[in-house]
Order: sequence, then structure tokens, then C-alpha cells
Amino acid sequence: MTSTTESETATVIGGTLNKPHNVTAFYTVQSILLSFREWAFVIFTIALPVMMYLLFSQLFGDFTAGETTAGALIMVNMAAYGALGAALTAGAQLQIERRTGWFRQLMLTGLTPSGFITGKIVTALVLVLPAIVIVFVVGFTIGGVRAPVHVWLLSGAMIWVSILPMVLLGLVLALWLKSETVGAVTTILLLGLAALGGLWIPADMMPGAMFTIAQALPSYWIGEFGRWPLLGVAFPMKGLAIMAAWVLALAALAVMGYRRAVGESKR
Amino acid sequence: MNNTTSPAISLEGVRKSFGTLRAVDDLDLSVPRGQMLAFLGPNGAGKSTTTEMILGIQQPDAGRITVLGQDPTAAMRAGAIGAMLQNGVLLDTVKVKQLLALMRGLHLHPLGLDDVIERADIGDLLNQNCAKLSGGQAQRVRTALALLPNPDLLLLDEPTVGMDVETRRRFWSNIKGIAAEGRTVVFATHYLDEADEYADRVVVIDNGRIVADGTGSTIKQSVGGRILSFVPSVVLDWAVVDGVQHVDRNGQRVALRCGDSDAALRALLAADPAASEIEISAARLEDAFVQLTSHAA
Repeated sequence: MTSTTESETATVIGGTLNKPHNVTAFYTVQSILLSFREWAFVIFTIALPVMMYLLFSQLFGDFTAGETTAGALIMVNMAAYGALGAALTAGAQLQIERRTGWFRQLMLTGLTPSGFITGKIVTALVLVLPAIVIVFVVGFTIGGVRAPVHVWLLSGAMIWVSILPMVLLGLVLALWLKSETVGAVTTILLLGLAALGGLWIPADMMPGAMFTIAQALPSYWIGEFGRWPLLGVAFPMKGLAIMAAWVLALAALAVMGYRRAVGESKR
Repeated sequence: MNNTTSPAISLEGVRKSFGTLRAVDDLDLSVPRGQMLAFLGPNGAGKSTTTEMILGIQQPDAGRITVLGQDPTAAMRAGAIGAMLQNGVLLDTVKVKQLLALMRGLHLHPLGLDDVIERADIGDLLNQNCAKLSGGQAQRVRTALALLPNPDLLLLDEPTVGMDVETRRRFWSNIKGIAAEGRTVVFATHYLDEADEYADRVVVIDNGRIVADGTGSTIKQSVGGRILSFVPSVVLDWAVVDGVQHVDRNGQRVALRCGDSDAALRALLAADPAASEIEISAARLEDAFVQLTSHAA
């Protein structure tokens, strides 16, 4: 079908040919470049977790915790918190496209809905990286955290991979909520997930019921996965199932929300 | 499939409601390839909803739509349709040339940038920030975006809003060139003279239905041939004058829409020899439009 169209149009003027997957890749790269033009956004995702890391590590950093120090665990927790904030807000950026109608303009191109969503997810995943990397760099240089190279890499990678449900949650908020409410709800969810997920205060210091709730939240498992390489304990397998459930549920909500948003997108 | 014999646009029994409002009501329309067609209708007539269904942005409640023999969404993805939306958004944060480069990468067989810049006449705007364009300049950039996919079908919703007279003239000259390459052009407009002058075919739509379909001149004829207007010196019921189909008053002036203006003029001068400032003109498309879409009548 497509090839017929292409060859036919090509006989009219002879345009160059792109493939649909090239369109997705091109959109993704452009979307990342446009996002990094927003310096304020990137700095905002880094500043708060770095400041909180410096504060908490000054207070509690010297305690030992199993094979590592509390300072190292606080560093991982703050990197996870920074990643959480960046992922949620980056996903929720989709509401700008909805509000302005740029969304509709994109629908008049070769970009497919799945290509569009892929671009948004990859962009958010890239926007998450500065928060993780900078908190780690501050941990090494100012906080004096020391660990083998593979532990640093594995810990950062675990946070990065497990942030996916938070990106999806941001997309879901942007697709389902009114644009005026997206910002407020994103902030409340970010604070709630960080606090209840034990990124600020360790979850095992919480009362029993709260600890049970914490273990159902993706933010708890982002922290668990990130701390795992430092602690040298068995991999928390239980978290994989919970994270998979979150990813599936949020992806389904995002697909439904996308269809709905297309139907009522602004003229 | 996209064979060359299928029409550019085919609508069969298309309906679309929003709540209790029936925006598009059992619409049938076939647009052959290469035609330049104008959509006319008052605000809320169903033009934009119809346009959006042709673009695959809205789905019809009932009926069937094909574009170049394909599903509208498939045709859009394949780059067969170029569209200029009313108030279509441009990215505020980038320059025009960056916007063009970005959008060009999203089409499967785009035109060359130089080609698009020349056709849409935007060479002077490339280094401008999109947020700082005037209304008419933004319309030229939107035209460029519509041409980028190298489309077989070009859909333009109110394309010349905000353009000055000279820009408008150049715009239509460009569009005529584009249509001359065998592309189908469908435009919605409020400027009736544009429909009359540039379209091969005019479709008047009102309350979600087609109320007239033909060339500008056949539609004008459908409402009566000529307008006889004058300032009367006596008070009379002008509707009873020979050949008169419809009476309009505008201040002192009376305008009679006439099937036979010669007979009406003779009858007028017999009844009111002192009538002054007499003019006879051909019915304008606007007169036809007002009559076709006036619900009060």
C-alpha cells in the first residue's frame, strides 16, 4: 500500500523517501533536543535532589549500613527521587502539546501514535539521566562515597530502568487530566510517592501499615533496586512482579487516554 | 488501495453528532482527482467537522470515508494529504526554518525544503521566530507545512484569513500552480469571491447538509439571475412586480432579485416613473449564499 503511494507521488515531483521507523527516530531525537533547550527544566530536576542529598548526608552520612555507609544509601535515594521527579514531569510535558494543539499538527504527519508515544517515553528517559548522574557525581566528589565502578554503574542503571512506570504515570496524568490540574497533581504525587516509597526516610522505619503500602509503590522498588548493588544482598525479586503490574496497568491507561485525547483535542 | 481511478475524496452517508447536535447529517460527496473545490458555509455548518473526518482526526458515527481510495488515517500517514488547519499551531520556541526541518523529517516522501520555501513564498521568513509572525505570515508558514508531505490532496481551512490583498493574490497564484500539477485542492473559506474566482466547484454546506453543489455561476443562477436596485418615490409592495422573486430593503434602497430583470424594469418604471438611482447587476455568490443558508426565511 505504502509503496504504491510513494512511487505514485514520486512520479509527480520525485521526493526523498523516509521509512516509518525513521520518522519515529527522527521525532524522538528532535523531541530530546527541544527538551534540552529548556534549561530551567533540566536544572530544576537536578537542584532539589542535590540539595537534599547534601543536607541529609551531612546529618546521617557517617552511619554504617551493612556493607556500605548511610551516605551512599542517601545518595542512591536522592538520585532515585531526582529521577522520579524528572520522569513524572517529563511525561506530564505531553499536556503542553495537548493544550497548544501541537498534538493535532503532529497527527497530520507520517508519525504514528505508537511512534509519538515512543518518542515521548525515550525523551523522558533521557531527561531523567542528568538527575541520576549529577547526584552520583556530587556523592563521589563532595560526599566522599566510594564503591567499585561496576557498583556505581549497576546502581545507576537499576534506577534508570525502573523509572519507566513513573514516565508512564506522567503520560497518563497529561492525557487524562485537564491541563490546569496536571502540574498540581504531578507535584502532590511526586511528594507522596517519594515520602511513602521511603526515599526520604527509610521505609523500614515506618509503622507496619505504612510499610505495607510502601511495598506496593513503584517508588519503593526504584529505591530497593538502586540500593541493591551497594548492599550486596539477594536481588529483590518480589519487586519485579509489582513493577511489571504497574507498567502494564499504566500502559493500558496511557493507550486509552491517548485515544480519548485524540478525539477531543483542541481545535 | 490507492489506485488512480478512485476519487480524491469520497463521503457516503457520513454522520457525526456531538451530544444532541448533529454536526454532519448524512453527507454524500465525491471529489474527483485534480479538482479545485471550495467549501462554503456559515460558522457551525459542519465544514470543520467534515474536514477533520477527511483528515482522520475525527471518526464518523456512520457512513464511509475514503481518501484516494484509502482509509483517511492511512492516507495521512502515507503523506498523501497535506492539511492547513484553522489556527494550526506553530512551535513558539523555534525559528521558521527549524520548524520546517523538524516537520520535514516526519513525512514519508517530503518535498525538498527549497521547493517548499519557493512555493509557499516564505523565503523572507526563514530566520524569524515562529512566535513573532503576523497573522498573514503565519498563514504562509502553515501553507508551507501543508505542502511539505508532497501531497496528492491539499486541504486548506480558511487559508487567507489575516493576509493582505497582495499576499492573498500571491497565495492564490501559488495554489493555482500547485493545483495545475494535478493535485486536488479543497478549501473552506468565508471569502465568497475567492470561492467564485478560484474554485472549479463550490459546495455550500449548512446544518451538516449540502444545500448547493455546482460552479459559482450555476449556484448564482439558482437564486435568480439579476438584482434590480433603486430608490423608490412611492410606497408599493414590490413583490407583485413582474419577474420579481425576492425583495430586500437597505435604508431607502430597494433590491429586487429578478428572474427576468427586463420585465421587472419595465413594470417598475410604469408603477413608479420617478424611481431614481436604478442599477441592474448580476446576482453575486454572496446573495446566493445568504439565501441558501438563511434559516429564518
